[in-house]
Amino acid sequence: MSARGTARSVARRASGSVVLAAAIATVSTAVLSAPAEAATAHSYQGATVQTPYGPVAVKIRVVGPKVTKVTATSYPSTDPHSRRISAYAVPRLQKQALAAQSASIAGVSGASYTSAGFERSLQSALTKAGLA
Amino acid sequence: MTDWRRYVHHEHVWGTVVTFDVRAPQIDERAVQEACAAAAQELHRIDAWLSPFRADSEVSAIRRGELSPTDVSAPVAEVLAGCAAVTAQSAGAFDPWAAPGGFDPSGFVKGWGADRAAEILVAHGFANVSVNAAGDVTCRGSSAADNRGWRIGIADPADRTQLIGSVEVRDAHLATSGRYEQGDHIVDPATRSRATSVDSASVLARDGGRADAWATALVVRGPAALPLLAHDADVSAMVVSSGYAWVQGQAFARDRLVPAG
Repeated sequence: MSARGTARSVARRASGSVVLAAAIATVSTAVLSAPAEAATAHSYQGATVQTPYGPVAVKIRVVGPKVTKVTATSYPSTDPHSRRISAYAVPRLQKQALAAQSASIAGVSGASYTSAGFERSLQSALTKAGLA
Repeated sequence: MTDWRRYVHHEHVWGTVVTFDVRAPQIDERAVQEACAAAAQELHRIDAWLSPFRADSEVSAIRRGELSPTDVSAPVAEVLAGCAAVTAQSAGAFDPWAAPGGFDPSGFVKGWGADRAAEILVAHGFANVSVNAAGDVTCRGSSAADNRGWRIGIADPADRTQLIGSVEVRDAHLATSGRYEQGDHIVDPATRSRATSVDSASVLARDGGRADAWATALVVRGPAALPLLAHDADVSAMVVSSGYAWVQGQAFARDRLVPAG
């Protein structure tokens, strides 16, 4: 895939992630046309959405194809302090990335083991990946 | 890297598998078997107290309206109090009283129970243990002679044979909730509909019950709930959705999740 294509696909992911924040806020569609190659920072204010716990709105900062910051500008919390959360593209750890891990993995969080067989299968996959 | 011994015990309980992983320079087989048997017995006791699938459990009696929440046994009271604290802190995103079918504290119990099992193993003289309750992991001490914590991988919700990174866990609990194998099993207490916008949520905290319940809350409410943890130094969290990780606290910062070198 060309660098340009990669940037575009990442940009699509960025907009998808905003849709997620989405449960919370409908973000301006402007983000969809965020320039994929310019490294300029852009901020986008999401619409305010009513929830059972109060109004929610977020603002995101986009640099090139990446969401670099998400700020809750309105949040159903009585705490007026720091509302910044950060975001980054989820690493997809293929083998070469896994090999770069500095230490071996002593366990896994997140797979719902419904059987010991599944766990063994997962462990074997981890072993193949050089992690266990 | 490690010249430590390792002893692993799988226990079928709670409709799943709980794994004890014991590490030490030397392991006496009889001693470790006794410790694992005691910890496993505790898991089955917890099932008997708290399973909504057992008609004779206290939770089932509460669901039928036959037992007042103020008349429960001490361990069940501890669970009720722990659940209530997360319900309040999460603004209702985690609410065992709003579960379809009636009171269901399961989203808290796995982490809480993993902690209790780990304490029993430690009390039997095994200070370096992990208890993995279907992907919710309590770690005590170290996994190897390097004296560091346990490096626990986080499964990629898009492909559970892969990881999205790993976190060092020491004397704490790492819980991850999400769709994974069981499908969309988490319900938003506010809407009673299934929460689907989030792929997974991971929470690192000292207390297993809190970590487990908060992971559920974050799957329900998404990244918008992360600021509720902004001033809770005890808890770090990450929400994965649409290819992005949304993080609160340092434990899941990108350079820690995927250490270089």
